[in-house]
Amino acid sequence: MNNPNNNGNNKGSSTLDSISKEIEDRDEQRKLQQLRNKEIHQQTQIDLSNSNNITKCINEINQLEKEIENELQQIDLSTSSKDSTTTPLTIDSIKNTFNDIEHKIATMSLLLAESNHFLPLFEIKNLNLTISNVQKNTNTLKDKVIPKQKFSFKRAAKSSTPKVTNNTTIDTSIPSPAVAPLVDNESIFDNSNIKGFNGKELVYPPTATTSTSSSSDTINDLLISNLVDCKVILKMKVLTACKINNIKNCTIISHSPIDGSIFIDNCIDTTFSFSSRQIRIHYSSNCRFNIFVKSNPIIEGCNGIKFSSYPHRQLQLTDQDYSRFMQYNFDLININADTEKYKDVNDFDWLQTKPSPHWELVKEEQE
Amino acid sequence: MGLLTVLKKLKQKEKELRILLLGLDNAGKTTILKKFNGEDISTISPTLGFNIQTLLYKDYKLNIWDVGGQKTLRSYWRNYYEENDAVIWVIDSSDIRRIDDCKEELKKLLDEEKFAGASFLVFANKQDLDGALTSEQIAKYMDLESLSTHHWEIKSCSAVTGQGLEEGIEWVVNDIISRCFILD
Repeated sequence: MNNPNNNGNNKGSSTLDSISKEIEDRDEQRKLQQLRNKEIHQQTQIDLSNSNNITKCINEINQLEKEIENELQQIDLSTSSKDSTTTPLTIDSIKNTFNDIEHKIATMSLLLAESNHFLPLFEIKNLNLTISNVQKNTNTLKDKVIPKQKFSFKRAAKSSTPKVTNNTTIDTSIPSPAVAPLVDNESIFDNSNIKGFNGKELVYPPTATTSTSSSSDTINDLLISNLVDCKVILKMKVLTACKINNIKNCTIISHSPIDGSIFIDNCIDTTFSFSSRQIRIHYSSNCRFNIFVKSNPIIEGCNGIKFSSYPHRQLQLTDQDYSRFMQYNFDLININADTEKYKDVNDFDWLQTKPSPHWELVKEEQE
Repeated sequence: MGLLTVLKKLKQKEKELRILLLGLDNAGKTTILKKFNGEDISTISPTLGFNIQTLLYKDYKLNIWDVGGQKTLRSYWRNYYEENDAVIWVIDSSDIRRIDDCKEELKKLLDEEKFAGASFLVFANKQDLDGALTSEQIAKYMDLESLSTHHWEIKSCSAVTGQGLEEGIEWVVNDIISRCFILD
């Protein structure tokens, strides 16, 4: 532009430059717009997820943490001051306090688990850290004060320290493929396994009499397999994931919402009643699902599957279970999602637009 | 001439990484992706087909292809094998019943010529569950130690809590960079 006598080549490159600049500018603006959109999106999400709940949950956990720290301090003081005059009585009371502390830690992780879906990632990280710190402090002090009790402690802490339980359960459960089918014939009914029963009614957790209840009614990984003619009722407080396979002519009912996915494989003539975040049904036939679900259920390789809504009125839920179900339900309304997701079943074997012949909707059962 | 813009474009494209996210169904692939992207994970449906998500990580643009893992979809995985910088294999560490299934699918994948040179990350997901195997146990069972054809790494993670995700993605990005952009 400054030098009109120059050859056209220069001019051409300058227009090219300006064009490329324009393109770059436009890209930049687009990026900014995207960022802004994302921000707005995030903001609305935070608004909707009820900040009251968040602060309440954090406060509660922090409160528990403080109480535990206080108790730990007291134990530490009392043991270090009268080292020589320890009597069995004080040891008993110390044990009691430790039990109490373990309960509190379990409640803390339970609270966190329950509020996982509405807490911001950062808070979850923080709270996890707090809990593991408290756990560590308790462990070290306990080792110091009552070293012999180390083993029984590990057991009681099951629900709050999954890492510890990993080591104990895994060694037996890794399947060497050749052995696995043999083991299947055995009947097992324990913390994370319901397997190999015939014509029984199973209520889970077994009975509320076992004193270590806090660990047995917060199960986060349940496996139900190889049942015939059984009725299974699940009543634990917290259940995160559930895998079900090889079931014939059974009824499986869960009174509590399942916070993760249910994976169902190879079931025949069975009725399921669940509320859950995700349901996946594989290679099953003639089953009925009374479900409340937060995402679309899927079926693969299935036939004769019936869906209807979760019969929470007929289940005669306890007040606690009912309030949990409503809470679960409420979360969903909160994020403006569809409450009737169970009607939109995705069939992996049916890509046509007309309805799949493998499943149908039915009315809620009247009993 | 326009060569400069062409070069610029090429340069920009180099900062785009294509990553394939695979694994059996119910492993948590979509949940990992959404969690990493800060989206809501409570209403994810099982993936019918695939998702593409673009993430910005450091200076890099990660195009992540998340393909459904259902048995009926596995035969379509091959359609996504071209030109990947990295493959992330996601495992449900608590799914002991199908671990042999998982091993077999993984073996098929690793034998694929099209992945020669791609970085290879295994996510041992669902570590928040009690019955989850540790990453060491999985590495051992899957025979990962004997794998010499790829740069590989196994990371334990939990998509629900978000723990371990960033470390995994960081490894993938760093490994790709160290492989491809040494000349920079």
